[in-house]
Amino acid sequence: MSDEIVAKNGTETRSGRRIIIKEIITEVVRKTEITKEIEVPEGKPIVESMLFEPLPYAKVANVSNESPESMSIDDSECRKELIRLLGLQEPLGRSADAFDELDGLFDDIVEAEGKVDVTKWVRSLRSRK
Amino acid sequence: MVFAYLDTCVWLSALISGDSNHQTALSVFNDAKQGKYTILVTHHVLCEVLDVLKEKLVTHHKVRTKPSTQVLEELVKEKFGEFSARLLRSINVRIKNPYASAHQISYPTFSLLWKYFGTIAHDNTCPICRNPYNFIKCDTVCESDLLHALLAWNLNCDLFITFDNDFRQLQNESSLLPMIIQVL
Repeated sequence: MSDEIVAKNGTETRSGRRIIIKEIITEVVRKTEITKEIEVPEGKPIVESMLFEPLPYAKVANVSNESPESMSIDDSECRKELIRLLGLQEPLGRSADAFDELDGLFDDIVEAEGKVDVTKWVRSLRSRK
Repeated sequence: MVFAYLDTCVWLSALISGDSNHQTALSVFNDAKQGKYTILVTHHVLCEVLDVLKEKLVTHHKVRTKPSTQVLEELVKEKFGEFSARLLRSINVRIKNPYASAHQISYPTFSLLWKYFGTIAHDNTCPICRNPYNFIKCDTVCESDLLHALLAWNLNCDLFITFDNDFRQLQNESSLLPMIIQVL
């Protein structure tokens, strides 16, 4: 499945030595019409699930709950590289729930320590470099 | 809408419930969830998360039971994979490095490192054995701290969020304006 770019525009402002370029890209999912014939066994009722199977692109990111500013930043190259390097499964849809899944994800790396101070860890790591 | 750069300690604090700033880190995540922030993550943050995993997991019971590089590597990659998968799926989060030359990052890093010396910190105990000792260290921002701040600045971030008090020294640094350094 590929996305179709329907609109692209941008603005550029200069402030001192900084140039701020904001690019707004609007994308829509390609519209596809699928025609198929279904055989319904004799005597069985026709139910909706027989008619509508999930489409292959249903798993694609639902980005409607993202801010327009976030959507204006394209990190697809970095994402693709990371997905390839780590051997993760594509596509990875975006969801607000993913933040909740990060909560306490590394708890088991400090199994014996109880209360910790990660800021100290990071400072210690940086001071050794 | 604010473009925010979270220091590595903010990410790790959200990932570890036992950290004293855990709830504060989660409230930053919550703001991003609500669309208040777009969080930009550089590979420098990812590198530090990986470094911390290597350092901490070497003492994990799975590695202690069977001490081998392979066990450690598998464990680190498993945890980092879990983290990355969730990071990539989070809304209002983008993985991005600035399009800046090494000179544009390295020179200001050196210049700020030259400028800021912070304070001399005294401690009456040895930081390793905890026995009485007149321990003195320079309490200031280091190269990696500055590198994060400059990456964030070059990404045009409005806000740099950290828990590290050393960053307070940079709060009035004119070369980092208009980016705000917020020490929570």
